[in-house]
Amino acid sequence: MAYNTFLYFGLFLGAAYLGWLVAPARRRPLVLLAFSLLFYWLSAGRYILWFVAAAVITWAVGLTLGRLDELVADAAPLLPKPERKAYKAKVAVLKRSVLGAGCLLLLGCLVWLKYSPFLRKVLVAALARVPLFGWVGDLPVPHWVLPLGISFYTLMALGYLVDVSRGVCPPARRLWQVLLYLSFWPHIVEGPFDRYRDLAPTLLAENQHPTYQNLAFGAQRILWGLFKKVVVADRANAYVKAVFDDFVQYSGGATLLGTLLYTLQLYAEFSGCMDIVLGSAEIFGIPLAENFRQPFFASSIGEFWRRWHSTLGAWLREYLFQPFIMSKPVVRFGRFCRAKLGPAAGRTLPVALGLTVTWAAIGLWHGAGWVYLVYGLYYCALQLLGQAAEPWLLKAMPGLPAWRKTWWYKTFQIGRTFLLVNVGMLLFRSNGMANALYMLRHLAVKYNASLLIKVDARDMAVLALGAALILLVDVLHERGVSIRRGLATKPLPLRWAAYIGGVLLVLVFGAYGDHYDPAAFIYAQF
Amino acid sequence: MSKTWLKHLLRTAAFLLALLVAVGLVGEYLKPHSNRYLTGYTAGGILGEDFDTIDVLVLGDSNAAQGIAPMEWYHQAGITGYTYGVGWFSVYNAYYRLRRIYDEQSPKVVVLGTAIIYSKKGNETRVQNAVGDIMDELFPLVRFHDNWKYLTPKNLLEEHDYTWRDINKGFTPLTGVHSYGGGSYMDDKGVAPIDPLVQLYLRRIVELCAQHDTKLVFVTVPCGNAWNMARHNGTAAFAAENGIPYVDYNLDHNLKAIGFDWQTDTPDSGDHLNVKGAWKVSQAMGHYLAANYALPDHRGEPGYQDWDADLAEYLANRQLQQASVETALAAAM
Amino acid sequence: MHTIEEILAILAEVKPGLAPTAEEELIKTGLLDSVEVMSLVMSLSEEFDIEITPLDLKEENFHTAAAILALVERLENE
Repeated sequence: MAYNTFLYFGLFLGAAYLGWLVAPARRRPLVLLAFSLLFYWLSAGRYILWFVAAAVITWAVGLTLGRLDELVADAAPLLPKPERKAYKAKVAVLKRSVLGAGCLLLLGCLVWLKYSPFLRKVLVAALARVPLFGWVGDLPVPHWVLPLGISFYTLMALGYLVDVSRGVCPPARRLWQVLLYLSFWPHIVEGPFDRYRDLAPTLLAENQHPTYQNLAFGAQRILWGLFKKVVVADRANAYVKAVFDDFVQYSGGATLLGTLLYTLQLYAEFSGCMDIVLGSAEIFGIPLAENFRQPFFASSIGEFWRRWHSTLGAWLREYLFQPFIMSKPVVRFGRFCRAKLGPAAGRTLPVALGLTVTWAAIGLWHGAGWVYLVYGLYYCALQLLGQAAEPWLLKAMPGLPAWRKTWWYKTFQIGRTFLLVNVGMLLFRSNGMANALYMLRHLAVKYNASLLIKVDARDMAVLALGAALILLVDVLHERGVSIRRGLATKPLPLRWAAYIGGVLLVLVFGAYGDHYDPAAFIYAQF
Repeated sequence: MSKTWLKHLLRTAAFLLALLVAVGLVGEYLKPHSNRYLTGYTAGGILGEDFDTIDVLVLGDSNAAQGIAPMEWYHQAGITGYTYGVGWFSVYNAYYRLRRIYDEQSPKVVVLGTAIIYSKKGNETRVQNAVGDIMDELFPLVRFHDNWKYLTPKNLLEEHDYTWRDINKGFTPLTGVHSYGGGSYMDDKGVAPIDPLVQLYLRRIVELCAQHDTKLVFVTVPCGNAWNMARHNGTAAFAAENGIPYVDYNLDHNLKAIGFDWQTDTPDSGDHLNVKGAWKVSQAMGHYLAANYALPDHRGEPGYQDWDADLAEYLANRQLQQASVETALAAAM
Repeated sequence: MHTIEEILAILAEVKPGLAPTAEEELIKTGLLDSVEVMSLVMSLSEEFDIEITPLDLKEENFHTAAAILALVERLENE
């Protein structure tokens, strides 16, 4: 069930809110759980079993880790001092094995379900290259439909387990708590990645209360998200689809516009979806993590990814990048580099290795295919290049640190980042590496200004105005203006006029119905 | 506590009411300026007919719009009919449109083209299909929203004119020929189940007809690509259960009886009918209607002068279409 | 005991041109991003032979040069 359908925000959300409203406060989280499971079942049918299995594993492993901690806390003080350390070490090993087993199970499901077709392709290609075996065959891989949100709930579950084992948060005592945390319908399809420790105090609380402000603010945010998705993203889709499906037809100009519009589409769509998602949760008074912070004002690639899909970046930073660099083999590798190549290499090479692994993971998270891997590594290369070039740049341009504080240099940085991101977007949208390279080449060479594509001028005008509105809102947010609070303090007739106007805007100018091809939410496929 | 609660409840209700009114008004405004453009094909022309003049109403999708020519019945026996055929029509659309048509017409017979029982558009689920179609019907704004594109400074304040009449009475004549080579499609077995939501709305249509004392008939227009025996059986079972007569022109003996030929009677390899096919099916339907229902002969009656004039024009066009389809046939052979 | 100068020297090595005061905010101002923090961690653990774990990677441990110094001294005593 997509978030942009009448079925969702007309029937499902309405029913969920009413059910939640009439339930006694103590039971409200259970109402949320019931609707979350209903949502999952409506969207995925029997694949819900995969999800439930993952939730049960997560719950059991979390509980076990918690019990082991209690064991240490209870038993250690009773032991004589010399034995205490050995006992603690033994339990620590046990904890690591339990955590490792749990993570392996969860990750195993994800890899098996999501990546086995790709792995098969890689394996078959690799084996065919080894003449020794002379084996040219095929490996059977069952055809799965991916369980809804598996890329999201698996990562959230892993993060939760690591947090519990680190002692950052206490484990969930009851199964329903884990079920609800992982399946909560707003964040299961496209994220954000919420941390258990951040969400538990509100999502699992037994004193959830409806407030008029939450309802109004949530609805307002859903409306804004719908505007981005239905008016802007779906309208851009027609042009983008035409260009990328049949790129050989088009000149550099059309490809350029197609790429820019795809960036607009993906941004409007993904951030719009997040507005719908966060608004949906806000109605119930549950603050989910923000995923976007005006990404196109970023002055570097690193900053872009801290503003774009930031909860994925944060998750990978906390549970992959940092632990990876601090792991024993990598620390040893750092020491080796230091001894052989000097302190600078000892410092930078392990970090570069960590970055590569993390970016590869980001790429592959988006999809099982070479083009996604290249997509991740493209950003990795940019970031590493930036770092490697920094000392040289400073030497060549002593004025650089001072320039960096000027508005014109900042504008240059923002423009540069935007350009680089658009190349990434082209990679991401193109159907395969060969096509991406073809398009890039023709972007540079076969350039002529004709756009050669049938577009409705009225649609393009709405698109331009919609994009301008999104940009305006982003500028205001970047300057710290809270539009929502501003609106809330206006007199009632003005407020209502704004809301009703907004609904009419979406309904009238939405690119839905017989003349448009509704694009499925892009991120729901990951 | 309870007082603020009440206040918020009232305020929410008032807001929703204001929103509903606004959506209704804008929807009304965005309706096409002429009933000619209410739907694809010419279904909207029924709103231009005089009140209570249509005795037989056909509801269906493109199969009906291109396969059933009511003017054949008027020609044969003076039966007034109209084909309300809309591309990708659904039972949900049909139910609400029928309600609307009853405001102006009181048909004695409603013919439901059964293709809409199994057709499904896009990659949406059936529930999404249903919700989308029902929203279309409840809120004209949803259905007509894209019409802002056709607003010009000139027609901004123009009044809507819904008096346009169609001499073909909703029928869209096609004169191309592209034969169907798929062979027999009615020899499978089994019963294709009807979606529960579709059943629900079929029953609502049955009830609506009963309330208005209208006889309901199911008719399946020949369709080589989307119809089969399992669908026939599913439809027949529903019809039998609800006491609805059912004529399926896809059945071999019916195809033979009307002299239908898949080589010559379809313009698009078996999806729809060209005029050759449509005339055969429509004439057979005319005989069926005349034999089974007491339908008055309106030819020459006062109040039906328009119809007599329409018929003359229809027959003149029919000759041109005849010539055109023969040319196409000669080219295709 | 270590001095703040040692920390500042390492900071300058990790990020050329970075010369903050002891109490200058490093994280919130964006002077150090998450990647540079990791480079810093590698340097610190080598220079002072300490083991920094993921649990120590909190903003409060790295937000100023003084906080970094405190972290180093705490870990050395463990």
